[in-house]
Amino acid sequence: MRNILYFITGCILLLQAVACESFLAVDPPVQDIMAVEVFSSKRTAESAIIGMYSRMTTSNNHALNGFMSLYMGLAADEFANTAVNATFDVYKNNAILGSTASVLGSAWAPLYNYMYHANAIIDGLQKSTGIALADRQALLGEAYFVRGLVNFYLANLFGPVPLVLDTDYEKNRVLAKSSLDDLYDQVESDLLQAETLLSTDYPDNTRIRPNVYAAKALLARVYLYRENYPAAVLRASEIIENSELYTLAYEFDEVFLSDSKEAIWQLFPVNVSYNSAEGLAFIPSSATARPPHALYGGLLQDFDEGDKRVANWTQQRTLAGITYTYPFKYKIRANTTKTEYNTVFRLAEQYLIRAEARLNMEQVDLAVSDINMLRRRANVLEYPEDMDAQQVMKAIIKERRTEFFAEWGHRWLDLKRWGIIDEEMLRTKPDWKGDNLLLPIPEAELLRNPSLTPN
Amino acid sequence: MKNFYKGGRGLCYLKRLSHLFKSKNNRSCTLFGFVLSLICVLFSDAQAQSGRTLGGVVRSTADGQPIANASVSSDKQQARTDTEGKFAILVNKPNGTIIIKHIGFTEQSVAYDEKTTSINIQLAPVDNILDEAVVIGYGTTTRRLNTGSVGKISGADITNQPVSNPLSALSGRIPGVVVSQTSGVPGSRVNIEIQGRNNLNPNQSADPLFIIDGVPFAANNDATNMLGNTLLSPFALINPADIESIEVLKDADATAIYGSRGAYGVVLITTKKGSSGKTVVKAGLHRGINRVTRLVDLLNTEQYLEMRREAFANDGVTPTVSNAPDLVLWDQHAQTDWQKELIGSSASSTDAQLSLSGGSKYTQFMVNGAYQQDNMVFRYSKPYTRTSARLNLNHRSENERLQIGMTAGYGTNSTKNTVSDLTNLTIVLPPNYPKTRDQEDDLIWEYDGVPLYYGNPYAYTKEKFESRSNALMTNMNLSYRLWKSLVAKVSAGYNTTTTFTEYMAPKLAKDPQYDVDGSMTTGDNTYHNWIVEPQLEYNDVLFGGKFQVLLGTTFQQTVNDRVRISATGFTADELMGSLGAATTYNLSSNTSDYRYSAIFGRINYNIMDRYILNLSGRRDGSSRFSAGRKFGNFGAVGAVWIFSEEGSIKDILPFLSFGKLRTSYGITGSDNIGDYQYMETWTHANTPYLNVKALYPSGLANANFRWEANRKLSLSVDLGFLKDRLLFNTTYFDNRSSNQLISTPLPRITGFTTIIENFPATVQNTGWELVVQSTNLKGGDLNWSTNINMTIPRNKLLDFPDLDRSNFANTYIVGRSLNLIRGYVAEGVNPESGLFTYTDLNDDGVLNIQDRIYLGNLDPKFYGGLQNSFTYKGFGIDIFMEYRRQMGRNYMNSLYSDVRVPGFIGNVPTYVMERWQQPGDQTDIQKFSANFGTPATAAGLQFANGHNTSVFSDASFIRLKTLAVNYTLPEKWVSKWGIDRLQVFGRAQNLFTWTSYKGSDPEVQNLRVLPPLRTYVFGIEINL
Repeated sequence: MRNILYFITGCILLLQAVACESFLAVDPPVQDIMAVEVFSSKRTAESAIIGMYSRMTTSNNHALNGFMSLYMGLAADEFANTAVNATFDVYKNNAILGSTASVLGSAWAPLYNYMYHANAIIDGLQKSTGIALADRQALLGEAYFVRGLVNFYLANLFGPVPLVLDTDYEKNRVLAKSSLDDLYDQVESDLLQAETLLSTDYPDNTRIRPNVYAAKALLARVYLYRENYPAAVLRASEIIENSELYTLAYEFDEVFLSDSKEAIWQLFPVNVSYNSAEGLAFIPSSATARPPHALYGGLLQDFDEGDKRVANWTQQRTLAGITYTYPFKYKIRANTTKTEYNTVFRLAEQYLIRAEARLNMEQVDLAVSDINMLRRRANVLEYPEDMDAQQVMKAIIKERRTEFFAEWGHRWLDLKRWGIIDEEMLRTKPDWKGDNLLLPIPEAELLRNPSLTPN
Repeated sequence: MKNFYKGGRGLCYLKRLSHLFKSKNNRSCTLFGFVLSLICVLFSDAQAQSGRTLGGVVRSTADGQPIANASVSSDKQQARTDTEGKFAILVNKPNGTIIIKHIGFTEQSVAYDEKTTSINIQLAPVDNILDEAVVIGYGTTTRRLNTGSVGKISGADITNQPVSNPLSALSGRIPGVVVSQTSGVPGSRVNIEIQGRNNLNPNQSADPLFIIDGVPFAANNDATNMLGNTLLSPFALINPADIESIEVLKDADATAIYGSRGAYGVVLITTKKGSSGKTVVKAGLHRGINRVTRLVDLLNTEQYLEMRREAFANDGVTPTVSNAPDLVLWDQHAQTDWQKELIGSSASSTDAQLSLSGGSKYTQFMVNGAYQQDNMVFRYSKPYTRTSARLNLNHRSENERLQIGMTAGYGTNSTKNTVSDLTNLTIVLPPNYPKTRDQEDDLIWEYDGVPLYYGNPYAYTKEKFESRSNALMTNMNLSYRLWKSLVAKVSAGYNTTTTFTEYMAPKLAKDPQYDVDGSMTTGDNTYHNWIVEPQLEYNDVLFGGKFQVLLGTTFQQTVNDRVRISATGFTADELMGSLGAATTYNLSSNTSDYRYSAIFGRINYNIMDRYILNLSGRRDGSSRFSAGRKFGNFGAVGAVWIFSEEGSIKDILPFLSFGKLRTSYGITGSDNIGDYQYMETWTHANTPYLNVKALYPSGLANANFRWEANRKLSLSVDLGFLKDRLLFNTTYFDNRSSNQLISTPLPRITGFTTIIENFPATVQNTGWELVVQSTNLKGGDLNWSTNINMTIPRNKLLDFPDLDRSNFANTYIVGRSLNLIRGYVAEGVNPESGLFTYTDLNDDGVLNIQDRIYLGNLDPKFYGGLQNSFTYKGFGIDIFMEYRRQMGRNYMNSLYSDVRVPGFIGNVPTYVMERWQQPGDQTDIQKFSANFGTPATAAGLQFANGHNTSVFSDASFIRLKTLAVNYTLPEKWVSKWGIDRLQVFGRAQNLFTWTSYKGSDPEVQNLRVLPPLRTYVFGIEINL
């Protein structure tokens, strides 16, 4: 009898001992792949790179997919929402608070998600051994480019912010702000890295992944913002002179198409129902509905008589005796077939970057000829080459406003860097107080990160 | 000496085994080596000595089952019955009496004479609540002998409450347990917190472990519906009438046998079993009505328009079509009471039960089925239904060595209400909101080309939302008595829970302003769980004490599969429901695998039912930890001294019928952190980027986290007076959770929102639990008993190294509760400016995090319940009141949100009419404003998220939770109709609430959520 007992006790213990460790070892879940495996082959590493762009367009009105165009357009003097809307009113009235949900949810958090993503790729690729060097370099170039892009928009929206350069959460969880100069230095160095690593070809026949010119395009803008004019001119010229790849689209409705020759870099809209976030935001939902956003009169006055951009890039609708003019650059409100892509950089900007840089290098005539490139396309009177410098600057301000309205928040960024925001805003918004140039650091972030200080 | 030798040999034998064991798994062995050695030592026969021996068997009169460990005495001789109820006692005199005693039974004396050789004795159970069975981990005990802290609610107390989720029946009944309903929607989730909050992250689940008939419930208390705003509970699949009792295990002694999963307490649900005897058919039916209660009063059209006009005047802004359609465009005289319109229905309910039970001495069965239907208070919505069936079989062999019990239960329910709680809409829709349906009942979305601000409130009537769940729960217990006092057992179980949620929003139900196409989304969430637990149980008498050893091992696996499909682009709205008719899909699937294995053991030693020592321990391994960190050891010790059994105490305190001191101390843990958290993972995006599938980071890895340790200390005193008619229990607990394993909220700059890690902080929960049970009147026609419980809890963050530099720096304060309120000090409304003012504590001119200080905490000061039960002849009345004293978030918290303040478009409670209007006004509500960017809006938004004193006020309440009245017809009447028993009853739930709380319900504390419903039911129950 006792032997049976020992036998059973022994069995229980043996079962436990033998089975324990192996029983508890589980494989990673089927839907996941371990980080080390991501960077073990070119194919998966490429998917990781694609992941950055895919995330950028997953949600409408997030940081790099409509937030700049829509929210910063409302914050600036471009357009106003036509119906009460708690989300839009906050931006329109420049009454954004640290607790405003969209600041954290649509700008701050997505941008830092892309940052982690880029940092994880940089880290993974640097350690990777399974991918050929040339492939690894090209992929690294894209990650550096994205990190530069993200830091650029963070700096322009929030001012000084924490500079996150790795995936170490132990360090980053209590990271303090870096100075604006440090942020910009990092943007510049990341883009310079990208410039050396990226090739001149697009990875496929679309433009939905960046090539070297995408890096140059942003670099040109960064140099302009930092007043390094020769460097800006250099980059812009390299793009403009590559006419095989890039030409201005002479039909205005071709500018934002998926096969646009003017586009330097576009994002593919991954959301199944939509094309661009801008199309969804600006185009009215039905033939009778009031347009959700109407351009301010001040902006419309800046267009010269007969400017083709008015006819092609805006539309009007009159309801109950009130005429609303709304942006119509992207023509598709929503469609499962994708014909318009979110155009991040386009050639027109390079002309205006070069014009502004040349002006500051006292090459006024060359500056005027660059502006005239866009005026010729818009079918408005070209400027004489002997305009005085002050006039040229005014022409650039006006041209940037009319070319880039409702697009990527150009106006907001420009007004701030030119230092003319107060006088310009007061023309449209009499209640402008001038104390809302930076988005507030989200309250939830201040709550969690003791090193972070409010704006 | 002989015995020692035998034991020694056994020890050697086992040592050899354990060597084998050690080589495989070194650490697992050490804890149980001790247990094993003890078992070993005890395999020694208690041999009879010389003299005349009397033998016999002791059985219970109730069920004829043998009574083990009963004490048998004659003169100075003592013996105990074995597991078959057999005893052998040495007697010196030719004739005399033997006395048989056992806890829970009436003492009996039996005379013997020379001729007597064997005596069969039947003991009658005593009617004393101290001796009622209490289910504990892997066994049962009684309240008298329990070494742990266990709260219990009986099946009768559950069925007296017409609730759809059996867990909500616990509310207020058990000290130390806070039960809060998340919503009044039938089948919705109930939060349970046992002995306070010890988790630093308020969003992380701190649910206790739920075990149904020995098998962990796969879905635990997680909401299983993947779609919809209301969290639906898998417990709603269990028919409350199937439950025999629910035990809540609280202290270390009771929970350490569940080791790593016991930190937040354990809830044991035991279902009803068949009993031998006549076959009984029991049928019950009740019908009733549910209604909303405690809604706030909202502005009528006149008041609303007054508010809006005043707000625009205050702002100096002219109302226009775009900023104030409600003032300029809409009908100024229309009036709709949206609360009445959308959630004001009286919803009928039906519940039918049928059961059949009976059996022979060796085999018993129980079969039952039930159906419940609850209509919703939401207008135009479809009913909630639950159907369940259960079969229980128990058998024991004629030689009583083999016992087998099996239960299989199946439940299915369906919720067809709305994807989101309509209550939220009712409190914001302006009373003059335009008509939103035309003659054909089609939805209107615009008024004069202007989109309606709150969309169309009837959109849900065109949508289809359904959540269908089903659960299959099976378990089997097999035990075989190998040898005299040794029983081998296997308990095994399998359960599966599936929730399929489907949401169809056709194009015509969508605001054309935002959406382009009809869509259908489905979520399929399945849990599979199996467990096998082989066990050995040994009972013997050792040195005059009852000795019980349990040794067991656990293997458990839970697999969770989730599939979510969204489809759009249906050719026609009519085809929606057929996924194949869609043109685009978005599919995501997730699988997780959780495995768990353990060895556990318990040693209980009981001397004369006076001194009891209980040791329990468990070594756990969990797949949720990285290699090398998978195992953890847990254990507890409990001790009891029943001092009323001491002769001297009996002499000194003759009025004391029962006195017990109990203490326990031990360590438990938690692996409630989700699967795979130690792996750094990437996952794929659901839609391709043109034609490439994207990958993105899905898990921030921390391979270093390890088991946390919760140290629990519990002390209690039980006193009984007047032959236990008056019972007091006082328990003090001190639980400390350190090296907490939590999901820490991270700032978003890290790229993630949380990380699982061990936190060096120590959280302390202490408290007093008091229970008084009194049988006021007994024996006559009128019986009356009273049951009072009260808990006085205290929560405190004891220690937090480097709090200042952590992510919790602005959240917690050492020495304060985790449920603290940290916010601005409100100074009320400035009589000059009419604006809320807050104290700028550091005088830096801005209000920010530095100005938020400790303002109090949201812990209940005390809480509990009071139950009175009366019976008079066939009548019975049961009244239960729940009370809680606490601070809470008042209506102001819902009034000032991130997106609006009073004066903006949208209705508000009438409280706001007390607002500031002109300089000199003294009031609590600031002036109205209708626009962002005004000083009044900015000041109002400081209210958002409950960051200041004004948002908090008293939320104490006393609730007449349950009133149950029943009448059993006299047997002589009903027997003529061939009926054994006939009872008619009426029950009411949430009948009245006394509170000074400003808002809707002091328990839910949220105007946007459907408060608990008031329910009345009437019914009949028949036994054949």
